[in-house]
Amino acid sequence: MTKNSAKGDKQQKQSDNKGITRKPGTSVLEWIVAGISCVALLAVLSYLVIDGLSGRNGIARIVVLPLEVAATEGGYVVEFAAANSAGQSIAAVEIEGELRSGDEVVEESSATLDYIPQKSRRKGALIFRRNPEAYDLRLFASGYSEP
Amino acid sequence: MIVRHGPTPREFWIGLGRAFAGALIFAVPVLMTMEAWALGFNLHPWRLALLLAVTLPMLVLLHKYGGFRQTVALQDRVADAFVAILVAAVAATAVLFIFGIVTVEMPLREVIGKIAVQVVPGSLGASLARAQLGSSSLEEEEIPEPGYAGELFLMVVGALFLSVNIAPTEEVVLIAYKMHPWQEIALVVGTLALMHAFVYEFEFRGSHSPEPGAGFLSIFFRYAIVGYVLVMLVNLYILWTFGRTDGAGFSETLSAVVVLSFPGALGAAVARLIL
Repeated sequence: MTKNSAKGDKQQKQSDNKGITRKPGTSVLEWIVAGISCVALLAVLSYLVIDGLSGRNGIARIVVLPLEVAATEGGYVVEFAAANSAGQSIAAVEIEGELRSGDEVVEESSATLDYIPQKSRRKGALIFRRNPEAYDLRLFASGYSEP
Repeated sequence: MIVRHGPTPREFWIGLGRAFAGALIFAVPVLMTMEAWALGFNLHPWRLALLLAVTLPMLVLLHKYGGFRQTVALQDRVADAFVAILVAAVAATAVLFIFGIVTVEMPLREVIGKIAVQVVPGSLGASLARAQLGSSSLEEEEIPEPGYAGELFLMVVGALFLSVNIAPTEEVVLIAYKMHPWQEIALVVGTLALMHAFVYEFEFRGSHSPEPGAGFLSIFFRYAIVGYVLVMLVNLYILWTFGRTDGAGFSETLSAVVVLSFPGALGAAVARLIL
């Protein structure tokens, strides 16, 4: 036995009135909780290592898609989803929208998304005074910064 | 006769409840810091993995001097460290989910990153809960009095406790930009003086004389100076982990380390009061 159990025997062995001898150490219940934690930690570590191996360099690929157009008192609200399919997060993403009639740009609007994490999408909205359904609506990202 | 190892289930649940309280108290500043959420997905995954991997042995060592129960053998301390990490992760997940920072439709990488950043302060809090929130009568045993290396280790943990809360914020780099070199020198001198005063000159509860009879210079060089250098190294590691040193020049990095070492050194100095 280890020196700990010897020390423990001297200091801690105490019998309560049900005849149970107490010894210092770790209960089965705690070992179960510790085991769950150990498995979860190993899973997270492996996930992060594999994620690191998959590579994060490369240029962000941003696709902006309109979701829904709603007419409000303040104008026509065009909800969009901007998806970043690269393995790198981007910040301060400028999203611009144009209403076109042929080659002519009738109205412009823009919004900024704080972050789009890697392989994620974020939602936002642009507001136009004219009805986007009467024109050719174009949505695109015009720039971002690396966080 | 039945032999029972360790605490009864009831005592274990009480310990777990204390650990949750400690995790919440220590992690709440980081849980409510915007930059910390962004770090979860901006950090390089290997740096995040390294931070988590380093946390475990640190907790095992810390449990030698305190913890949510007095553990004796190494295997008990390992079990305690794992429980502290799980408690911190569960507490962080619950709070971030209620805040709406973590949602079910987020990609797994983002969720894992956001929670993993919170595990360091949370698990530290869970481990210190017993020391912070009153002593337990579960298993009374004298905490071993740390030697010189132990004292330095406790200083490092104390530094980590404050640095991890402050390092994610933009303010560290911003203050570093604003400071003139002379102001930086003044900050270093002032921090060293405070560190020495807090631990060894004032009559705080945890103040103690590790070596009775040792002179001012001996204590100052072997504790304040060595402690401050360790605090700076810990802070450099934390800033590197959080990506604050990427692309920064030497003087910029040094300024940020000096700025972060102010709270870090205060944490190190009061470590003996709270740990």
